[in-house]
This record gives sequence, C-alpha cells and structure tokens, in this order.
Amino acid sequence: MQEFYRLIKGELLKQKRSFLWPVVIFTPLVGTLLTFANFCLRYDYLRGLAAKQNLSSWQLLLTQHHFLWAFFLPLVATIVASHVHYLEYKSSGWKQILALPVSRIKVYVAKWVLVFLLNLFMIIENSICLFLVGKVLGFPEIFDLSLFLTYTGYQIVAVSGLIGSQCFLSANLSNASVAMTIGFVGVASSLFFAQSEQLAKFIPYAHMIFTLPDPTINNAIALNYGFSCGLIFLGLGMIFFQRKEIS
Amino acid sequence: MGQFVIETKGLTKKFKRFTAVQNLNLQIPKGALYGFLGPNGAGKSTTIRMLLGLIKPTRGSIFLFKQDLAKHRMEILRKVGSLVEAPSYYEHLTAGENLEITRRILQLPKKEIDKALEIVKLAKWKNEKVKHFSLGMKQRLGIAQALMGNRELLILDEPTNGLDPAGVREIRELILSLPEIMNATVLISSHILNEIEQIADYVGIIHQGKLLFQGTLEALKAKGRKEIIIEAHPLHKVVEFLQGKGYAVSRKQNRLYLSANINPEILNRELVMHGFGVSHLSENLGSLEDIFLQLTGEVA
Repeated sequence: MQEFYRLIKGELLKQKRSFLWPVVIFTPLVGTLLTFANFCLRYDYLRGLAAKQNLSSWQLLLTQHHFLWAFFLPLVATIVASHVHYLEYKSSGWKQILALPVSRIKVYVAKWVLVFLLNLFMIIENSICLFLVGKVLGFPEIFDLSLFLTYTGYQIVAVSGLIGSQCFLSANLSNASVAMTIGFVGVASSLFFAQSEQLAKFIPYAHMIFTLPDPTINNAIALNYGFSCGLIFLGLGMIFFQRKEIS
Repeated sequence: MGQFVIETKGLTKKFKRFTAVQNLNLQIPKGALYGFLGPNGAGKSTTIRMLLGLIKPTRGSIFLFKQDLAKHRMEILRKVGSLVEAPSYYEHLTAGENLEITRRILQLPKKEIDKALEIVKLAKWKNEKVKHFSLGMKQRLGIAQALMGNRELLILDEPTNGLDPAGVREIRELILSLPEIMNATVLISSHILNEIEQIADYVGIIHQGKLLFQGTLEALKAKGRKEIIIEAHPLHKVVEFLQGKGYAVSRKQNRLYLSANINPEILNRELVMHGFGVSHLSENLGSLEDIFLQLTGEVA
C-alpha cells in the first residue's frame, strides 16, 4: 500500500505545472456558466417547460445541463487519460519507471487512480457549481440534495467504464493521438449509440448519457454496465500492461 | 572463477522472424567497467532491455547478483541503476523534481537528490526546469537518476549518444569516476570503439545479435593480426626468400608487409644472416579498430 501511495504521489508530481489542472478546474466552471447563461436568457420559458413536465427547478437545471455535461465530461476524461499516459511516451518515462523496483500493475493502477481522481474532482465541482447556479437564480424549491447526490453518484460509476477503456488504449498505444481520436469519435457518436439501449450497454462513451436521474432514462445502463466495463477494462489493461514490451 | 554480477545463459530475443539477440552468454565480473560494443542494430539495447526486465527474452535466462531475474525482479532492480538510450525526464519539471519521482519510488532520504546532483555536477541547476537544459545536462541528469540510492550495478546504454566532443569527454570522465565513488559494476554500451577503449577494462563485442568476443581489453588487443613491416635490399630477393619460407608477403612501394606470427627479432637475425641489408623492421600490433572490423567480418 505504501508503494502504491508513493506512486500516486509521483503521478501527482508529474502533473505539476501541467495544462491538465486548468482543464480540470475550468471545464465544470465553463459548463455551468453556459447553463447559467441559458437560464438567465430563457428563465421564463424554462419555468413554463418545467411546469408543463411537472419538474422542479432543480430537476430542470440538471436536465438542461446534462445535454452539455454528458459530452463535456467524456471529452475531457479522454484528454486526461491520454495526457497522463502520453507524458510517459513523450519523456521516455516507461523505461525509467519500469526499470525501477515497482510492480507494473501498481504503476498502471496508479495512473488509473489519478485519472479517476481528476474526473471525480470534475464531477463534484460540477455538482457544487450547479447548486450555486440554483442558489444565484433563486429557485423557489428547497435544494434537492438527494437528486444531486444520485446524479453525482451515477456519474462516478458511469465514468469508470470510460476511464477504463481510455486508460487501456492510452497505455497500450504509443501514439496518444490514436487513443484520443478513438475517444473523441466514441463521444461524438455516443448519442447515436444511445438510441439503442442494447448497443449503448457495451459502449462506455454512451454511459454518461444514462446518468440523469429521470424516470424516462434507464439509469441501470450507466450503473451496471458502466461499473462492469470499468472493471473489465481495468483488468484487461493490467494484463496487457504486465505483458507490454518497453521499446 | 570470479563472481559475476551479470550472467546470461543462451539469451535469445526474436521479434517475429527477426532474431535481435542470439544465444548470448554474457559474464560480467563484479567491479568491472564492462564495455558492450557493437554497431548500430547489433542487439545491444535489446540485451540491455532484457537485463532490466523491460522486455522478455524469447529463450534463455538472466542472472543478476546470482539471482534469476524472472523470479527476483524486484529485489534485483533495487540494486540496479540504468540509463537506457536517451535519458528519461519530464521537461516541465525541475531537475530536483525529476529526481524526486525516483526518490519516492526507491524510498530514499531527500539528501540523495543533492548527492546525485553533486556527483553529476548539476547541483546548482536543481531548481531549473529540464526543458532549459542542454543535451549534455539532460544526459547527466539521466545518470544522476541511475546513481540514486547507491546502486551496485549501473547499466548505461549509449550514454554519450548525440553529445558534442566536450560533452562526450565530460560524461566519460564521470563514468570513469563511478566505480570509485559508487563502488559499482558498470555496464556501458556504445557503438563507438574509441569510447569503449578509453573507459572499459572488460569488453563484449556483439554483432548481428551474436557475442563475438568477451574478455579483458588486453585479451582483445592480443587478438589483433600482427604485421611486420620490413625495409630491406635487395627487395625482390627478400620477397623470394620470405615466400620460400611460406610467408604471405605484400609489397607497397619499398616496404614489405608480413602477416604472420613470427618473432621480429628472429626474423631480423635470419635476414641479416642471409646477407640482406635490413634498414627497417618493426612490428605493428594492429589497432582496436582493425580487430573490431576483423571480428565483425567487415574487413577481409
């Protein structure tokens, strides 16, 4: 455990002065600012819509924001996963680290954990920012903590599948742009995949779409398949990385 | 038999149909400064990567400190410092921060960073970002990483690659000082013969994946084709005399070149006794370059 903790600290040190921090910090801010602008410009219309659909202001906020966030988060998650691994290719770091007395599996998992933590940070920041948007706009209803916790939790589970697949690709493809392109194409076509629940189950890029707590959305896809994909890709990644030849 | 820090048995690595390393039996004695010499693409880096567990051998075994690398990788690598081809560094971090990553993994005290930077003469650049470093400084930083934690074995793969003559000299002096400072065995690979000649006391020559020679530098030099150069008259009679004795003689202007293992003193006496006027007779032991080319089959 000590060794793993040291590896995580090492991973964090490698990201010092990295462009990832502004990306991770500003993505939820920009996302919620856009939602805030949407509400400021169309508040009356949206209130009417909420009344028609029998939604509370907080539910409406999440629904409106989700269309944006379900693409923002996977895109940034793809960038984060690619960058964390690309750094090693760029600096010839793999041969340096793996020639040290460390377990390959721990090295791989440490990177996975770093990517996961950065995504966790974005998800939590996003939820906090959305809460602030609701407060600034002065929603009449009491804050729906349970709704927000559910939404946050679903995202955390769903994003693990995406992280698993992107880490697997990024660690095993020396060309970061290939892993990134696969991620971008996957995210861009996620709405298409989401049209079919059967297909969406097996496409980690589409899982985020199913994280909105809404009776019309099958959250089980995000929860069951997000978690399963996360586990499967993490396991596959560890096996492949253990066998990887460092050239 | 001495104690070998590195010993490989039948080490072979194949990449699909291409055999990069073939049946390699390395034996590197403790405390040696071992020069691993071979042209580009000979299999040096592949061998080094196998020694560090970065790639798996197709066949054969690797013993470091008398332990099987396949079974005791973690214990072994704790004692090994390495620089594989180009040095690894995160250029957005400072020299100190780069070493901090290695320090954390090896669980070393913080002073190890200063000590390593001191040895490679980068102490005053500790807080400077690596992206501002020259190639030589980056190379020295790579060596500093390899030195951290009093490693017993240092494996340096082409540490002077791409450096200017001053940089090469700097790194050479640094490497030469390592056995004394660190009390370590050093394996250094290079395709530059002159570099190995100036650094190593043991040499291994690899070509097309096969180990052609392994031993001390003296033993390698002794393998050289001796040549005796003669200036004597009448020259055509001397040629006839030597050929009559079964020697292969070649003539260039007024000199004769004899490729044979003869004592020059005896030959001189013989020529004088047969009435030839000998004005010059010398022995040329052949350069290391000749020996290398001879071994690698790049010269007839």
